[in-house]
Amino acid sequence: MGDLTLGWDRLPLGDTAQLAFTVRDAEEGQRVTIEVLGADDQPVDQFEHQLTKGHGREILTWKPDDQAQADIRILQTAEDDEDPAGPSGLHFHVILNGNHSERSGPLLLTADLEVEHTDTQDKPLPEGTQVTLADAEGKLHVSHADSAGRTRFDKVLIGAVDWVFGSAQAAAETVRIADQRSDPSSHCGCQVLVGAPTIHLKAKHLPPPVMINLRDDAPSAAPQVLSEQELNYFREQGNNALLFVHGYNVPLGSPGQLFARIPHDPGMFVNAREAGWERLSWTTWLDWTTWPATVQQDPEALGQLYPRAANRLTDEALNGIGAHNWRVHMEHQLNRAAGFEGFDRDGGEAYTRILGVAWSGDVLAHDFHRSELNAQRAGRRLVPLLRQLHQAGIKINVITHSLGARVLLTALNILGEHHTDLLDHAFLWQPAVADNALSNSPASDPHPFKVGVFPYAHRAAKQFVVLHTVNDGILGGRFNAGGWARRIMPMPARGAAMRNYNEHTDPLEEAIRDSGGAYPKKWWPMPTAGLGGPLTGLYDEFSPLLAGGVPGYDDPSGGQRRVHSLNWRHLREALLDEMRRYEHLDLTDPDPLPEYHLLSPIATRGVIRKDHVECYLDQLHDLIENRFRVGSAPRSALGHVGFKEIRGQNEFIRDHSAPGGKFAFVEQDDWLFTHGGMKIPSDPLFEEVFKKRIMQQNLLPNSSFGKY
Amino acid sequence: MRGMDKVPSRLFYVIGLALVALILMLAATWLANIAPAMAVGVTTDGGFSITSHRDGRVYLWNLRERSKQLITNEGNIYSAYAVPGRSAVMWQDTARKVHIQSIDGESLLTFASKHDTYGHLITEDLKTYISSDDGWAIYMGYGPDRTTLKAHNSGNFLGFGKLLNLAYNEGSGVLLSAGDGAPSYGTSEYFSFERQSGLGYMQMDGVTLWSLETLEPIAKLPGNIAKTHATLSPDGQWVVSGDENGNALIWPTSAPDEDHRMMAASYHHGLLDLRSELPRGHPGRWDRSQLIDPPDGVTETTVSVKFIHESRYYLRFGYNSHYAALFEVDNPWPLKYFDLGQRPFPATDSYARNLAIDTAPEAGILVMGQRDGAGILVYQFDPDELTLERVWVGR
Repeated sequence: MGDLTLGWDRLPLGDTAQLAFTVRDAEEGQRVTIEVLGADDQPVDQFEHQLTKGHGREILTWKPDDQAQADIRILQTAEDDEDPAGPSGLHFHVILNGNHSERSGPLLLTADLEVEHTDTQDKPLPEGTQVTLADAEGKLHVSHADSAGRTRFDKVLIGAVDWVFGSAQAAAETVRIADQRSDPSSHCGCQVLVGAPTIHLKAKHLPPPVMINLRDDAPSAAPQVLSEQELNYFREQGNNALLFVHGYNVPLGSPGQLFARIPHDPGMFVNAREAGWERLSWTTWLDWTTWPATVQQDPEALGQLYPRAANRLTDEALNGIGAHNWRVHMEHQLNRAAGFEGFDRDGGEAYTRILGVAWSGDVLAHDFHRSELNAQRAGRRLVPLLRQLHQAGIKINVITHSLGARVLLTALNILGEHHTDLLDHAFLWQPAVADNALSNSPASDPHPFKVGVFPYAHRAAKQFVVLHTVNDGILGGRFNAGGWARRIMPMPARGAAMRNYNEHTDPLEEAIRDSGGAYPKKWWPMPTAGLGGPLTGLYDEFSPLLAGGVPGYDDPSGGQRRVHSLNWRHLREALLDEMRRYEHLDLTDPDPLPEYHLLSPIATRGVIRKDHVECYLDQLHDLIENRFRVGSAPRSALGHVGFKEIRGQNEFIRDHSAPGGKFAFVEQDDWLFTHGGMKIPSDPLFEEVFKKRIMQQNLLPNSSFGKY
Repeated sequence: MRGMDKVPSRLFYVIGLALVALILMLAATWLANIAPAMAVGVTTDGGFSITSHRDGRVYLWNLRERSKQLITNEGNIYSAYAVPGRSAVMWQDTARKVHIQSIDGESLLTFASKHDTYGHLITEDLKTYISSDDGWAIYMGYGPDRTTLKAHNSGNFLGFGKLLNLAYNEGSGVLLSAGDGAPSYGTSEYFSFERQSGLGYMQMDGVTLWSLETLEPIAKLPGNIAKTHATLSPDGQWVVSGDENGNALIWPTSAPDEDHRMMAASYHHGLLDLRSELPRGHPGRWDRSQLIDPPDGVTETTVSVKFIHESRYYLRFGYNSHYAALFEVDNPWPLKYFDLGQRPFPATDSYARNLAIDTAPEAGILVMGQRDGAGILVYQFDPDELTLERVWVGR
């Protein structure tokens, strides 16, 4: 028989704790068991005590065992986050006659904590990087890494701790603490339990993500090649680099946030007096919201685990938007495809960064040609990066989506003039370029400036894999209905019910597809778009280029239009001037590459010569006279038809799709229903393209990704 | 007009109702009939055909009497198979039981299988049963004696979008499998026998010959790129393969190596000399001397290759095409293009349905599923005239 109540008073800080509790109706000398518990309610220590009195206040001291190893336990976000969690420090309870008392308040023991931070390649955190640590009491400690990546925090309350790095460029998510693996999407700190006065802790973090910004609006200081650190990363991670170039209409965007740190209920705290522990939500102590998530999190899975937060757990919130969103998803899927089974199983060391490339493809949805000009500019900016990797002896594989193919092919066309087999593979996924773009001859190129074909691009990579589908609504309209039976293959063997894959289609894309697709209309004259829009914008200082009326617009009067002779002469001179500025450059591998402005519509070669400009002038003159109308339609998009149309016409392409050639065309009609469908692939798509087509059949046998 | 006054208006109602009823009936029949065949088998004598449809129905067709009979509603959609050398057919139900029955309906053998079949075959004596699953595994036998030649690789069926195609020649004991060609299937260490042996050969998805005696692969037949179908000649002497990049390769099974490999001519460009020293794309690499003009709508992208006459002539079926190209086995040049007809359009619209094309080379019979409808298309080959005529549209 006995009754216990525990003291709620805070005890002074020190390295010995005083445990105080009140007893009633017990007996002097009666044995009780004291259990000291950690923040996760697991016992840390247990000992017996004989009551000094049967009635009244008992006080004991307790000191963590100096000899004990520091026991670090990783904390994961609680599944039921609405439960006012207990104290996140050490606490105790007393067991009398088999009855447990309530939990005490926190034992305010402190220790000095030294954390050695290294990345998954065992490189130390850069010297001077600030690390801010929050302890169980909410107190913030700041330290700066020394040359071995060590940080020191004094008098840290023993209990749950978490830290954040001062710079997102220095380090990314923590994936290992002591010898335990941690999944970044649910990691929320670790618990320091017992140990010597100074606790030593080793932690590993992921290296920062790699994103190269080739956008027109990139800050001038933004690097367009890799830093020495980044190069070393790829060297040591298998000596390979896998690049991803996004498609059309993708803004730069921003990264998402880590779920474990999104405020669930900001400012929540439980009154100490009533529940025994005063605690503020982690998120109010540190500015977690600015901390970017650099690895993918699954909104659906997290939404199921934490239903009350589900409405906030969107793909945008967790995985970011724009080019950042693409990078995170592609990196995740490619690691998965290569065999990565998760941070909790494989650990962070296996996880390999890809190289995300951002470019200014985001113009108005129908302004395709303008986006193509941007792609050409970005392709030129990609050249130094590819050269850098090649010179470093790093194996290069590139995956492009949609108009990203034009970015890559421009770069390869320039490099292909003087290099062969720079890339191990170029995977062109739903490429928004002409179906004869890989041909070695500009014959049968209906493009008014003959930049539909990239005649040297094929030389610059060992293998091209083209992934195409007629079901891509942006690249082209449907060929024929062919019976709706076709749309639901393949079926599992027992599948009798008709599976409806329509859930993967985007209604806007459906509408575009039913009207014939956006790509085939890219030359249609449209206000501010078509060919006229971007060109008149580019040559604005020479406007009007057409005598009479507004250039680029249709003239309802159908009157005589003539090229404005004076303005045309000025434009001509300006174009030739720009050409002359660079024509002296070494034909073999100019470095740096000239950045053409007025000549950008034809800048798919390294150095533009006089004869190129003369041709362009003729073509441009004709075009202007025709009010920017092209006489012919563009060829079908490579991502839409593959080589179905070109195969019979072009010997070169047919030769290279024979055994031992450079081209492989893979149709994936059954799998890809929307243009952007591969970003968050459905299971069948993931299996096909990533795991089987990219990794098993091509990349892993002939090249490598990470250390897989 | 005056005559019209005499017609009672009631009649119009009756006619209207009858029309509506007729339309509804037609619609119902049409709706009920829209599950196309996913796999087709035709008996050696060309007399009977078995088809398994997307809605689970399995039909037995009597090609001479031009009739059909429903065998089951609960069939595995890829399981229709005609047993060679007999008047018997094989199929699997959705409870995974495999049924071999004579065309009279007499059950010859039934057994339980551990997996849903994604393509299977059995020998004439019913003693050797080979099957594949959705991981492109190859199993021999069933029940506790089932042995694995090629290990299951999760996601292959979904990932590659087709079945692993199998062919067997009893005389030579050689099993042929063809799924998808990797460009470096023949050269990369990744696909070497040593490495693959440690993986149970699960990535040997290209054209491969296996020995059923040793349960080991005999040879890799590289060269095809991406989705690939391959077949054995009835006498077991030849392997013919075709892929979605338009390459068709022929090997003698006695010497399955690159030196003896032949490549069919391209329909539009002629015969390519792969050993030429000229750079790729040079017109001098192509020999056009015996090229015939391909009609519009012909494509080299191959969804299936099947022998149509003994071990001499074979047909190549183009993806989404209603044409088949006729070849002679030791001749790289296409001999003729046959128009299979567009109404109904033949089942060439999906690589996952490439089992919906089967032949009886000893009888010169070709049976195909339809692209849109649930019926079959039956053709007769004449080896003297070199014609292929559609003789029946089974509905």
